[in-house]
Amino acid sequence: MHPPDDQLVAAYLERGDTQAFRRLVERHQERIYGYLLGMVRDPEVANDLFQETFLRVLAALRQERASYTQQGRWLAWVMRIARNAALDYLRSRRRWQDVVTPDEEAEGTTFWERLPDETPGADEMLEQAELQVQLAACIERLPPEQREVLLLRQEAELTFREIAELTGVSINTALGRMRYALLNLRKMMLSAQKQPASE
Amino acid sequence: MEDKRLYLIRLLYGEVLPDGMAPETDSELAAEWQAVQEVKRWLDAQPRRRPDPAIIDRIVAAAARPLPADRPARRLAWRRWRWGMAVGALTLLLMLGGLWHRFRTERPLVRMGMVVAEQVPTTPDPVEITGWLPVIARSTPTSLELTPAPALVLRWDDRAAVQQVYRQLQLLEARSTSDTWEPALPLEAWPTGNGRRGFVPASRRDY
Repeated sequence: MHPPDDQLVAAYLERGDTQAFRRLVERHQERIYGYLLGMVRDPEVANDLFQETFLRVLAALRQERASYTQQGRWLAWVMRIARNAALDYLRSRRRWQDVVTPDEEAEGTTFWERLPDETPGADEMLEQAELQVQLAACIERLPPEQREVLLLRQEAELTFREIAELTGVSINTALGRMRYALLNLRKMMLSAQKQPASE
Repeated sequence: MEDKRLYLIRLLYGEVLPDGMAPETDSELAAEWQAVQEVKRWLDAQPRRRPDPAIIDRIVAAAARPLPADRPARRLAWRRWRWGMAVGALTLLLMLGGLWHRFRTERPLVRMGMVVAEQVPTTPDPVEITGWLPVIARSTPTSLELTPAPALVLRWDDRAAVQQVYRQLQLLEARSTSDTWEPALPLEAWPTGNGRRGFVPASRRDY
């Protein structure tokens, strides 16, 4: 039996059922933590941000007017809070820059696409024995806006429409970023795999 | 073409149905379709990562903490405050309206029928004019001399009211007789409190 998210939210708010809230947290922990880990790339920081996210969720739920009102969209609502927490952290570390240009919005292209095929620093990735490690490293090298869309779709499992609303872009821009993220990942992975053979 | 490529991404994640489209048979899309499918397989093969279980315990403990103010109680307090403000504002408005109505309609009271001012033509008493005044008197127009000066004579037309006022005056006089001052005593006759009667000049005091 899997009660919907809203039913669990109501159980917590109306009856103070903390087990219902635990189920909510556990149900979406992989999506939210996977997104946060992909954004900050540090498990300790991701743990802290995960906790911070749900403390903000609790604070918002307890407020009189700013509580959860988007019925049926619990995960998207929590992901918005998680994203804000991650961006707050990255801005404090000055590691996040929005590099969206008008050209990108108009044409759906980024500077990343115009980079040469040779991936700099591929030697470091070649040292990784497993494909997953290589993939994780390649994801880290993606431009922030592509990496975020990739994480929101792949880890948090938000729809492209939800991603567009969350990030404040059009759905075509979100789709374009995802497309380039996938193609760039493939380029980097192939490059990383060819590099040892050439040496 | 661009739309088709974006459509492939939605198709890849199952957000749209194929709708008769077969990317693998399309010469322009087949390569890209194959490429994105390959990357998605890599991504799907990644292990799902979870936060530290202690973090979840901490979150649930925070959720179980009692609220500083209970939610229904806060809502009730908010409603009471709102109603209180509304009632207060209404009371203030009513008071202001009442005051305005009172002062707007208040007029100087004219007790009609009690006192009537009646103009009675009278002849001024003759005045003996001496010194330089006769000069001024002679220079005044004669028409003014012929016009009698108006005078106001009060006439009570309600005898009951007159009698009532008279009785009140008598009552006040009767009550005030006990409060009248006694005949004044000379200063020397006042007691001084030193056993001697009357005022003692300083030169005669024996202390």
